[in-house]
Amino acid sequence: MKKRLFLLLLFLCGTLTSFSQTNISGTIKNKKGEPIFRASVILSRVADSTIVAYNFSDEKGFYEIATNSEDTALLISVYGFNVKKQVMEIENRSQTLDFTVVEEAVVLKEVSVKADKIWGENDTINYAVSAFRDTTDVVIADVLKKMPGIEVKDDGKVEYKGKPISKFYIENMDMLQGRYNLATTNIPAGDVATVQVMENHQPVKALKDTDFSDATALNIKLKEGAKGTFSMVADLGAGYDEQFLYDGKLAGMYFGKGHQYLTTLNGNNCGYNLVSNENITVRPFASIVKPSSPGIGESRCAFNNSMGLTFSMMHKLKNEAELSFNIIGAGDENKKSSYSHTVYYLPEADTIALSESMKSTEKSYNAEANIGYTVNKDLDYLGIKFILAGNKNINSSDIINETIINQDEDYHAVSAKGDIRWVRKSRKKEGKGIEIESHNSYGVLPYSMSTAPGSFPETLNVGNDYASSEQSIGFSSFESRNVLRFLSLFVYKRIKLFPAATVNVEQQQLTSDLNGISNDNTHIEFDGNLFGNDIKWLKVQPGIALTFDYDKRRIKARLSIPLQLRYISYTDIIHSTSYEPLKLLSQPYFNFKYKMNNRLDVSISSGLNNSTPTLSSLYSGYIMQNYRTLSCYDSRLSDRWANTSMFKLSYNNIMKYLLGELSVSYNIYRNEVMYSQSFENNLMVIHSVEQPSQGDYLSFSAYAGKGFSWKRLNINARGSYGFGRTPQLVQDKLATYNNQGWNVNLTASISLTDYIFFSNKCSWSMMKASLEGSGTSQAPINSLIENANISVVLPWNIEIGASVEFYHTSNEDNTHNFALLDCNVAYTYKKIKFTLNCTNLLDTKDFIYSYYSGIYSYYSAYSIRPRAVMLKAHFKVF
Amino acid sequence: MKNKITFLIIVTMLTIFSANAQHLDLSDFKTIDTSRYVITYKLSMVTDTMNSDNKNDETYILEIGRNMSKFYSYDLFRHDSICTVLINAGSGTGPHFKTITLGTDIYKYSETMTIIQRIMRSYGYPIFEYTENSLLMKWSITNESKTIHGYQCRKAITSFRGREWTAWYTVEIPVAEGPWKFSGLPGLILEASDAKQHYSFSCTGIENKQRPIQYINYYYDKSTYGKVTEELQKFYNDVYEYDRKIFPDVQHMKRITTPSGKKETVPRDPKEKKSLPYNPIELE
Repeated sequence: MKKRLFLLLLFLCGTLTSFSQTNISGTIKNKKGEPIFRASVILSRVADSTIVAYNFSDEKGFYEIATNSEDTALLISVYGFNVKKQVMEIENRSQTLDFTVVEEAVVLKEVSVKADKIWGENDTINYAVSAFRDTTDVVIADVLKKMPGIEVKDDGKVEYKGKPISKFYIENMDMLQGRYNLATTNIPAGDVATVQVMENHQPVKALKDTDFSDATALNIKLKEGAKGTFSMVADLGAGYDEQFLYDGKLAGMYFGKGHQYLTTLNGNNCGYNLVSNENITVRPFASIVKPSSPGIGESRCAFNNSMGLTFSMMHKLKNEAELSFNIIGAGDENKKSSYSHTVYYLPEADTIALSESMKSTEKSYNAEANIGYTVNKDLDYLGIKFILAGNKNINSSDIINETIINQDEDYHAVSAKGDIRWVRKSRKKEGKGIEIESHNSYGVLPYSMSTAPGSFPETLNVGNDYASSEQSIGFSSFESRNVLRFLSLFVYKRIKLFPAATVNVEQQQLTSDLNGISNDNTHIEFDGNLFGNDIKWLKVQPGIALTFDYDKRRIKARLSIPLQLRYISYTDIIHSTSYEPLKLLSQPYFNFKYKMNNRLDVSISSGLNNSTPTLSSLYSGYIMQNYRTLSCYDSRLSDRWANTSMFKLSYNNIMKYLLGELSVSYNIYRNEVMYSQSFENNLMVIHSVEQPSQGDYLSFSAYAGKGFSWKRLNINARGSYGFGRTPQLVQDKLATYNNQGWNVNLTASISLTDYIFFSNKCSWSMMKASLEGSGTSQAPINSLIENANISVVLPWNIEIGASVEFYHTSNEDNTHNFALLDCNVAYTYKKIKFTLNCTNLLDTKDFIYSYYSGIYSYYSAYSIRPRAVMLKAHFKVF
Repeated sequence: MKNKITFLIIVTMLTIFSANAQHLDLSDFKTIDTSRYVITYKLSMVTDTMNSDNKNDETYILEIGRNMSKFYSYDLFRHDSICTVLINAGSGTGPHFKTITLGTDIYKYSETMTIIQRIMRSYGYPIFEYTENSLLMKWSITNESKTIHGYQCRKAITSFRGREWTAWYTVEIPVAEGPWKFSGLPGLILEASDAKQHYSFSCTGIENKQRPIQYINYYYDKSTYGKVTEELQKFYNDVYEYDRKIFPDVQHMKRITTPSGKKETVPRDPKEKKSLPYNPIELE
């Protein structure tokens, strides 16, 4: 009995121990028989490879591993540094297992996570492009849109915290001199490593400590692989709406250490106007009545043919000098049509209704060349810029009512601009130096317009109809602004004094002549005294200015007190009037900035500004502005004073991707005279009335931009509210309107998943006006513009996207809604991205806009581009 | 005589507080191994427990070689290299190190590890070196898993010197390595954080990169874990007292406004204390 019991116990113990632990041991050696030190040995479950035990081999390659697992079989794996992994299924029992392993280098899947999406120091914020980019982004503008604080306009121009940037650098070189949208819309997103935003940017090194700047600049830092290689990107598209459509772009670029080149060739007939007249300094005095673009994108409504060519280059020369050169040429032909109906409600229940159905053809061509030379050293700066720009415009517009009125205009403008800025700082006395700035421009603009049949027969041709009216205007203008400034000439403690001398000169000449052609094709001379001008204008304004700067670590303040002597000479040769007033004036300016901490800045500024009317509102002979307006000014030279004050609180929390700004601005102005329009048999005369008036406007605005790590959500919101008083002359009596306006803008983008991206742009505004004292107020005008985009990345390199644009205006019970729907499919084959775009899917024909303001009601219908399909290919040529 | 002493005090002051920054001379090194993998970690730490929302980030590099690994602060490395270049170029001074740092570099070998611990205060402060066993942690492995940067990771927990740590390691990277003093799991640790979230390491980069692993030669103060902990405690408890220990002649000054409204620099009361918030990664 005892023996049996003992046997049972022995048996039980045996089973218990066999269940309790499995011990596996052995050695790990390589093929040469050398022991492998520190190899990992893992025991895991067969079912789900859960690790049940692990250990490492010792110097002799010996390992020991134990488990209490009750599974019948286990997986044993052996691996290590430079050891190829071996896996074996084994029985769960104590045993000896030796391994002979193969040594090989294990290549890891590389990972690079920028520790931060945004990082920065002082006034520079860096955005890592990889953290914001997704697969649908093609050019850098697409990625910029998603960075907190940055907004990109439709034309490729960039705003930071709601304010346009002052400079755009590529690898710290300013090649494009303002036309940087060429870069934002052409540089591939994949070539950019970092985007830097530089706040309080002072481009002149020599002025860094002495001159405080409020401007913001952007710098694009390229990836190493994108530097020093020539590349060309092509975008070619063809499509159909009611005609053949094309849209093509070739962009070649090279960004090397000392040289940069960018050249583009564009052409399309899909509504994108490539002509831009940024550097033309003279504007015409008259303009034919033609469809004016409605509040939707130009490309939605222009029936055009446009071509453009640009070439830009920049060279770093010896001695830290940079030479830049740009040539731009473009041409655009455009057809537009619209219908509008305006009713003016006059006193005593009278109304004037004006219906205009119009069709226009506009042709414009421009050419520009600019050359810049800059030497930017710590103590010296020299910047020379010369621009020559010209444009040619041939427009015609037909007004189709009961009769057809034909208007033609033809003009060309030529401008030459030369800017020099020179700074030299003392080598011996720190902070001291001298600065000279000179900005000069000259422009001429010969203009001619004809309307047929002849306009204003009662006034111009004793009531007889005639074939056509011919208006010609000649205008030339020269402007020069010059400053000589001594940098911190006197220093008292932390206050520095910068005295300056300034001279501004403005010289203009206006000649105009109105004639007619009779029905039998003879020339009709209109009264040159009434309908002609020959005016010379000269304004010379020498002055001195004292600027005080206070700089103490966190506080920067500036007070500028100028004193100017204004001399104007106005000579009207035809009407034999002339005057030469002389006046002493001062336009002081004050600015204060306090950096509370690394995140919070407060700034306050205030300035007084004086202005006088220019020739465009001083001519006294009638000028035909268009077929229905003949105007002249019966006014004198007067002064307008304005004061603008601003308070701004700005917040930057880079770690939390949060940017914000709060500002209050107040603007008050005072005019010596007011203008009143009066109609005398269709002639409009603008009189000046000796009626001092005052208006003001107070506005509050808030901006916030926040980027979240969560689904790459990025939100930019801006809101503003303002109210103020605007004086107006109604029936020659002074009336004051109280205006109020609200505006909210919201842009947001989010990656819903790794494959679904959504972005939204929304803008809402409301305007309200009421007549002071009358108690009546006009119905507010509400308008909402909403633009939503969604894109989905599917497998097989396919992306699909859709966007909707919705416009809403409402005014009393007058509501207009308007929607545009677009969609696209993109497919990437090797390195070519094909996109099939379908625009205006709903085939909406007209954009309708109307409102009622109490004084007049307005209705307009504007023809927009029909439904179109276009296939585009985007690829890197080399 | 008195003037001479004042002069000496001023000179000492300058040397300590404005002129020289403490740094390692990176030009004096020996190559001890070649890296196979270079891993980057972001360390996020709370130094002031009263203000635990305020986290300081520091970038760390782990170079893994065949026989050893080196874990070092990239922020300190950058500081050291700037100082090395400036001072070797003849400049008497280098920039001050302004950011908060853990101050720990580790050379980990198979049996032992050498820890370099700094107190970033000024030139003349000691840089400690001590040795510990390289397998300090007893890990418990769990079944939990998650993916980090595309690598399948498993969770392991340990209790180490007063903190409960959670680590995520991947067997897909076959090295028993990790950030800081962590090692001994059957795969590379990609993430590690303590239960209070005062210290957390997360991997931000993985590269297959071969480069020499350098041991920086320096006249380190040879010490032990216990002694270094004691020194750190003393320093954070009273910085002025510690300064006096290193530089017996040091005179701490402060700016005051006299009753007449003038600003003056006067010596501080020698009894005045300056303690800094201290939340060490190792509590015991």
